[in-house]
Formats: sequence, C-alpha cells, structure tokens
Amino acid sequence: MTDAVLIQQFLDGEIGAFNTLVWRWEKPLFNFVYRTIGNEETAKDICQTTFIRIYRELKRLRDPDKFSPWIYRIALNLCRDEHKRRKKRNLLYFDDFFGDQNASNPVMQIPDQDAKTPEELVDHQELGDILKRAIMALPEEQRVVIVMKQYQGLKFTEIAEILKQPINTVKSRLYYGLRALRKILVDSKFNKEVLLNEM
Amino acid sequence: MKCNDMSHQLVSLVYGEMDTEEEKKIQAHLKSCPSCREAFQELKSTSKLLGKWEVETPKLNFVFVNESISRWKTWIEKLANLSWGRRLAVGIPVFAAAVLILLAIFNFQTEYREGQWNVSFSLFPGKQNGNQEQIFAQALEQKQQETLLLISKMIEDSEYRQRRESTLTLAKYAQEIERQRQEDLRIVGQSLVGIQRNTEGRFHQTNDVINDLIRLTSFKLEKK
Repeated sequence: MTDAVLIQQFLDGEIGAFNTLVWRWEKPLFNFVYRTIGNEETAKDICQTTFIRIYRELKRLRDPDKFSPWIYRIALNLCRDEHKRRKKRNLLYFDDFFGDQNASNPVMQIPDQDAKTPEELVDHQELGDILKRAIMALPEEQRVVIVMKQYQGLKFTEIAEILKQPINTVKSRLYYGLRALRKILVDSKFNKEVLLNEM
Repeated sequence: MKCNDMSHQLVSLVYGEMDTEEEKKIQAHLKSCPSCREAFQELKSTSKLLGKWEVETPKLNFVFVNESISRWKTWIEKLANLSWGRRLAVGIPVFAAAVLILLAIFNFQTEYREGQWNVSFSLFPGKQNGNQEQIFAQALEQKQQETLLLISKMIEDSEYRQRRESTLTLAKYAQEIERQRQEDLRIVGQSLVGIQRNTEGRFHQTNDVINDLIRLTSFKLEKK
C-alpha cells in the first residue's frame, strides 16, 4: 500500500492508516534527523513534532505522491529551527562530545591515542563516532545533502525538490562536502594510516 | 572533456545515477586522466567509509489517536491565532458581557405579589425588604380565602344543578302519569260506548221480539 493510498484513507477518517504511515516513516525520519542534528533526544523530539505537524496539515498536501519530499522538508526546517535555538542559547550541539568544550572546533578533539592501539581505536563504534563528528563539522548545506544522498538513498532530483535547489547545486554541495569530509578526517589527529586503510 | 567540470559527473558516477552512454564517456576519460581518476577514487572511498556509520533507531512507539478537540479549545486556538488588536476587539466585549451576566445572576430577584410573579435583574444589590415575609403571609392568606370562596361557589353550583335536575325529572314523571291517565280514560270511554251500543242493540232486539209477541197475541184475540 503506497503512501498516497494511506493518506487518502486517513483523510477519509481512518486513523489506523496514519499510524501505518508513521510506523513506516519513523525509522528513516529518525535516521535523517539524527544524522543532521547529532543528538538522539533532540532527534526524537523533532520526529515527534514532525509527525504531529503532518497529522495536522496533511489535508493541505495537494499531491499525495509528494509526501516524501514534504516530510523531509518539514523535518529539515525543524532541524534548522532547533539549530538556531541552540545557537542563540549557546548550547552544545553533540551529546557525545568530550574533550575541551571551549575549543573552537570541538569535533577535532579525538581521544588520547596512546591509550589504545590503532586497531583498537578503529573499533566499529568509535569509527562511527568519528565519522559523526566529522559530518557535524561540515557546513549545514553540505551535511544535509550528504545525509540525504549517502544515508537516505534519495536521488538527486528528490534532494533538489526537498531543498528547492537546482540539481547541479545539489551535486556541487555533495562533491565539495565529500572532499571537505575527507580533509577533516585526514587532517585530524586520528591515526592517518588506519584511517586511510579504512578509506 | 574538461576536468574542471567533472565534479557533477563524478558524484553521479559514485552514486550510480548516470545513464549508460554518459558513464562510458566518463569511464573513458578517467582511464586517461590521473587527476580525475584520483578524485573519483577519493570520493568513492569517502562514500564507502561513511557507510560504516550505523545508527541504531531507538523505539519511538508513536501512536496517534483520534483527536477530539473541544469546542472551547477550538475557540481558544482561533483566538490565539488572531492579532493583538483583534483579540482586544473580541475579548473586551466578551469579557464585559460575561461580567454583566455574572452580576445579573448574582442579583437576580423574583417576587410574588397580588397574584403576579415579578422578576427583576439588577446590576447592583437592591435594598433588602424587611416586610417581605409579612407580604408573603398576607398573600398566602388572601389566596386561602380565595380558594375557600371558590370551593363554596362550586358547592352552590353543584346543589343548584342537582335541584334543577330533580325538578326536571319530577316534571317528566308527572307528564308521563298524566298521559297514562288520559290514555286509560280514553280506553274506558271507548269501552263504555261499546257497552252502550251493545245494550241498545239488545234492547232493540228484545223490543222487537216483544212487539212481535204482542202483535201475535193481539191477532189471535181478534180471531176469537
């Protein structure tokens, strides 16, 4: 059953259809929001707010086939609002941040490498943490495109529709974002040899 | 093919969003261009490394139920969506009306006097009437007297109706008896007339017989 069919059933009064839609989208939406904003609890809140907003405004969606870009757009706007709010309050952005909290680029604070061997450092989870921090260090417009393309598997046309940008702009942001990401990882204090092997 | 313009094609190639013809061209260029080939390899390896970041989705358990918004909440939400100016324009009269209504309710008065109910609203508390109970007592007594008068009148009317009915009934009986008497007299009279005729008839018959005897006797005497 497609999203469009579920939407129509919901508009006809079937709340169960909306719940099916939610359960279908909660995982990809959470993954997107979490990878964009970097905080699990905030990501949960944003997901909840997104679904509530969808519940209330679904009647205004003219084309049910455009549900996917619409939901991403709502979530992305909420992420941006959250970022502005935190920036205004000068709040920390990451939940697993450690090291010098006053550093200008906290993402670059890698744990003391003397404590572990390079192979131990390239533990699956730690690698994930490193990648997460590297992605969070990117400018927002590059990060969003990388998350949408790399992790959500969206096509360039879909990303362009969500962001309301030309396709070439999307491709440029992806290209320069990947290059910047590589530079961050290579330039970091992390064991270059191990990292390069992984890459 | 210019290497400066390759960025879009390279990312399309990395993520497999390229048609076959264009891909062949790009692949051919990469074979002959080391810098582009290196750039492509870097992009590809970075993309591959990014794939190692796995996220475990926590249980979100979102469940929606039918939203039942009370009418009050709908009105409140509508009011909240108005501008401050309109809120004041709507809110002040509503508030004033509510205050007036409350005051009126608290100063609501009812009064029964001279057979009539009097209802009054006032904005401010009126003076308390000390004789109110006395007035109620007088009104009650008056009402009792009126009730007694009404009852006695009803009894009189009932007696009058009964007397009238009795009189009518007796008159009917008298008429009936008179009618019966007249009927009986008529029958008796008819009977007497009948008897008289009968008697006269017999008398005439007897008279004729006697006359015949006399004539017969007279005739015999003459013969002798």
